[in-house]
Amino acid sequence: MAENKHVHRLSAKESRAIAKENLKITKQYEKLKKRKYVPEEEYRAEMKDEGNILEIEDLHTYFFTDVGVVKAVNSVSFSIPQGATVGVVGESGCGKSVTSLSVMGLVQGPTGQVVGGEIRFKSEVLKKDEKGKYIPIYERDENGELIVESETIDKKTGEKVYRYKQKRDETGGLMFEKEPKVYNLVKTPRSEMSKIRGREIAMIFQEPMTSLNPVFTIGEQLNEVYCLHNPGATTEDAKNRTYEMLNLVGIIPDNVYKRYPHELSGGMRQRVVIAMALMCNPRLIIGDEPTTALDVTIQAQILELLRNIKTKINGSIMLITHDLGVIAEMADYVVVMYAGKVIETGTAMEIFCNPLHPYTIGLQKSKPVVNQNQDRLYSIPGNVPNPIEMPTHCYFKDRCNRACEKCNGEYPGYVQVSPTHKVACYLYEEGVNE
Amino acid sequence: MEKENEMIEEIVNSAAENVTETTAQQETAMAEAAAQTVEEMATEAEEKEEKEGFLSDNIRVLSPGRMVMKRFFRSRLSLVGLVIIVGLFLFSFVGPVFSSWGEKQTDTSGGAPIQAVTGIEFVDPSATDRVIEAYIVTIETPELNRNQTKATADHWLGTDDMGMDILTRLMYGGRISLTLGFIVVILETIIGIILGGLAGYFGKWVDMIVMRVVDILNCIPSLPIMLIISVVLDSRGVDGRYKIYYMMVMMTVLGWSGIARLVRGQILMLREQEYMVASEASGIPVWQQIFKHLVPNIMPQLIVTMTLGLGSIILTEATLGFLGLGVEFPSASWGTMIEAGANPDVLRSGYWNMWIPAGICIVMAVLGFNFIGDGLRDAFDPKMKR
Amino acid sequence: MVKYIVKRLLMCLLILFGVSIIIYFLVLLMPADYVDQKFASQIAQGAMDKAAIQEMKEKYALADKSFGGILNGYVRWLGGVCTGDLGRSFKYDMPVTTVIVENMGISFGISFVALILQFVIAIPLGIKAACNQYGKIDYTVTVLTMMGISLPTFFLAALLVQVFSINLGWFPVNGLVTANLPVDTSSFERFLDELWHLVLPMTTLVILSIGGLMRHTRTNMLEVLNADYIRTARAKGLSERTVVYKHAFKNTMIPIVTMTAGIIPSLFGGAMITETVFGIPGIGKMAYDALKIGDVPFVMGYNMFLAILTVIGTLLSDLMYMLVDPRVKLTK
Repeated sequence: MAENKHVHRLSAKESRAIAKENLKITKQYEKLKKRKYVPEEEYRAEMKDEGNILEIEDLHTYFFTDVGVVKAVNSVSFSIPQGATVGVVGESGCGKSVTSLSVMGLVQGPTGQVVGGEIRFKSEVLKKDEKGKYIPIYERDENGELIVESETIDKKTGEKVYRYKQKRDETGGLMFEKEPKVYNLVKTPRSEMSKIRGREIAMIFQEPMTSLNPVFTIGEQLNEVYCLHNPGATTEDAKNRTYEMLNLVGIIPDNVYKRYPHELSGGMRQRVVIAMALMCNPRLIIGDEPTTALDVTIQAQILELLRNIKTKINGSIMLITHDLGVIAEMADYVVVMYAGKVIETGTAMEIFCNPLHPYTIGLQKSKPVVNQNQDRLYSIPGNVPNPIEMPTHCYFKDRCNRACEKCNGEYPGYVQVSPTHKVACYLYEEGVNE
Repeated sequence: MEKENEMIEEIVNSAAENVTETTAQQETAMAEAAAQTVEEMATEAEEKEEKEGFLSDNIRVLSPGRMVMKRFFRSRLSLVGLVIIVGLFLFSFVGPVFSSWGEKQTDTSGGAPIQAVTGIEFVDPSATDRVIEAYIVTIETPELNRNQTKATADHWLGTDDMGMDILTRLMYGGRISLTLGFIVVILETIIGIILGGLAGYFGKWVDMIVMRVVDILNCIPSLPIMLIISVVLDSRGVDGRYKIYYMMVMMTVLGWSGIARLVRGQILMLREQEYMVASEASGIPVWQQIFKHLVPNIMPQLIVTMTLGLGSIILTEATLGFLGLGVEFPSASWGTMIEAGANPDVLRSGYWNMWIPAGICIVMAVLGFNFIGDGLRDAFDPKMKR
Repeated sequence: MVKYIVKRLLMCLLILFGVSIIIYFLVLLMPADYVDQKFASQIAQGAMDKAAIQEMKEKYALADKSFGGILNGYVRWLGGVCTGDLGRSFKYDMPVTTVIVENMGISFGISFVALILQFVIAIPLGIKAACNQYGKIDYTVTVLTMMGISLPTFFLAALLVQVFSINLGWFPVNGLVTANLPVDTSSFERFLDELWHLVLPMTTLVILSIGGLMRHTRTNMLEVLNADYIRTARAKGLSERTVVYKHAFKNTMIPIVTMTAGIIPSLFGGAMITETVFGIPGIGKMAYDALKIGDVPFVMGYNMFLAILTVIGTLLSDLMYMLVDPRVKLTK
């Protein structure tokens, strides 16, 4: 770290107080998480808009660190409509990844805790009968009769026991009856959460080099997801699906199935990670900078792949990136984040053609454009403010070239510019002239 | 989740040092747009610095030293370790001042008083006819050692079989045990740094030879070797009082390999770094660079290794003492004192105060050093950051 | 693979050669009349003649300390070692090899049982501690670990004897068999009697070694649990149990399994101090008794034996590492 005389060093007493306070708070949250039984009412919720698959409302995720509480996500709200791609953009450290981890319930405790807000997810839960078993859906022939797959004779009673042919979905998994339920993922207990992760919400991580377990083969790691979320699936089923997915991401399955991760290149591994995320046809894919680690040609391929798959399974994508090009290519809606807050949301069209917030404008200006004769590329002056002691005024004020008198006041509220376009800036409040 | 920790760190430090994507992009763009005047760049940099200076005014970070301190003291155990070690040092080095007994002083007040009565007759000179009978009573206490007592008012931990005060001997024993531990560790470290440094810096055959010696030393069983050395010293008629020093020298000779390996590994790692190549290209001597980067890189590990080493050397000294190869009686060391526990008669006699206190001292010392070493390791290791 | 192993084996020979030189040099430091003193009684009884003693002196270069004499002696000794002849022990008046082989069994038995107990106890506890970092279990495990590491063997052994043998009288003070066992005792009863004698020594070994393993497991587990692939495993929807006991466990076990091979020397070489304190006639105690009186052939033989075990241990642990960890490639 660059030595700086202006830096305020914490005294031992202060830091001790912080540590003590942190321990108290995190302990509470951990205790809440570790409960054995959580009543379902506690984590059931209702969607505000039935067309959405995910609604994030007033989400707060804090990290209780040694130097103080870092409000990594500080009142973030946005929603992801069914079948849409939502891009989340912002500088490093603005809370994009933490938002996605909060959705997955993977914020690393005890330091990191989701302290408030709701994440509502429209889940399709496997229905259970009175005995707690899943209810299979059987295939019927043209007469509406069940198709007998095999028959065995019960040794005790001597009666014939029929096994009927069960319907299979497009992933090849046996089908069971499902019921739609809306969960508040913030309060969903771990056991329920693990049924949603991987099956309904899948995440593609940023680091292909370290995201795969080095001691299991690619095949084992892919099969595992499938077997986990498809009750009654055999290894054969899983292998079929794995082969299918590997083909889909453009890898020859035989080449990698029995390989270990370290034997593959970064691009290949990233494809494997994507295949893994898509194994169970998740209804929401979260891509945390899925292409950052890859070179440009592969980047394009992967994006193409994501887009194809999305249309194929009618899923939604939450795409986190700092690359505006990727967003322009992929996203239907864009969420711009700055220092843990959403500062502007809108459709891709609105954000790119009519950016309002000075930060969004700055972001776009700092992207090089071919054909344009530019001497210098624009850069937003300064850096993201210190997240521990956030000012009460607009966080961007100090870096903003259009700051006015009003900006010294409270943090600005949202201004609805169009039905889909919102911005948090005083410049667009009524009565303020540009 | 290391990545996440990094992320947090990034968030925390972003204002001070973070190179954001925008600036990164800007840099690439800058390379493209080469038609930029140098002056412009300079003024811009100045402006930026000013701005950053302003911004970091309100940043609260911990200085690296305090960070280590803080993390060290967060763990209760390291604090306990520190208290134990400071306590033992005070006990050993200051304690004897307050003790009324000496290290080798025997309590000779052990004899029971004997009364001797002598009767005498003498004639009163004033009245010649009177004879006076008188008795002289003498009470004598013969000088006998107070051997093997349990705790009493003047011997808080009793006396040993030679009538010496156990508590006082524990203090003197601590002096020897702790001092020897420190000397051996420091010598080991010096040898380790020199040889490891040579191996790492020169590489090739120097490295080959040093590392093979390290391998050989690792294969030598230490306890049997110590036994042999003791026999050899005996057979050559070395004075028992100096034997322990020879043993310590041997321990040093056998013990430097770990540190040598550590230093060599670090140097090799540093050599591979790209900035080494860069500095070589810019004409700065490699050894200077290595030295500059090596010290901060290796100090934490060295300190931890040394602290943990202290514990193990005290343990070895005690083991030697227990086997009767340590400090010669009547000089005291914890190891020598615990030797009493090797004697089943002592165990049966119930005079546990002869050996258990010494054992507790050893355990405390080793435990203390281990706690501190562990705490330091956690404190230095940035991965452990919470 | 074969090339690598051959290379390693050659290296091992070189190391053993170095070890032998060092030990030989140490023995050489003894004065020449040392052997005469040791054998004074035997010579007086006529059990040994001067020629045999002279030969021994030559073999260990005690008589002639010129360079030629040393070289001559060393070559003769080395020749003996290569044919498996480690010389004849003064103390036991038997070939050193026989002494080692005959007494190895009991040492191995104790160490082996202790080893298994140690694994069964230490690994689950280590994992538990890592999963609840800074929790109550973690602190308890850490303190226990530290106690185990810090306790001197002899102190623990003496304490156990004091408490369980002398004060409580549950176990015998020392030895391997009860002195006056009736003649008609069945072999099974004899076995039980031996076991009864071995409870305390085994406890000592387990308590002492458990700490290190527990700490090792904990540190490894912590490191693994922080890895990105564990986050991936969680994101897949695996339960916490599967994440820890399948994905993290396999990664944790790699260093532990390989470390196990390094235990070989203590497995066969005997626990010198424990056996001495408890008076168990294993190789450790035999060696201690012989070493303490300076039994030159035994000194040389036993130390070489230990060195060979250590070399084999390191070699095996490296090979194991290759077999267990798919990342290690045989390119060297």
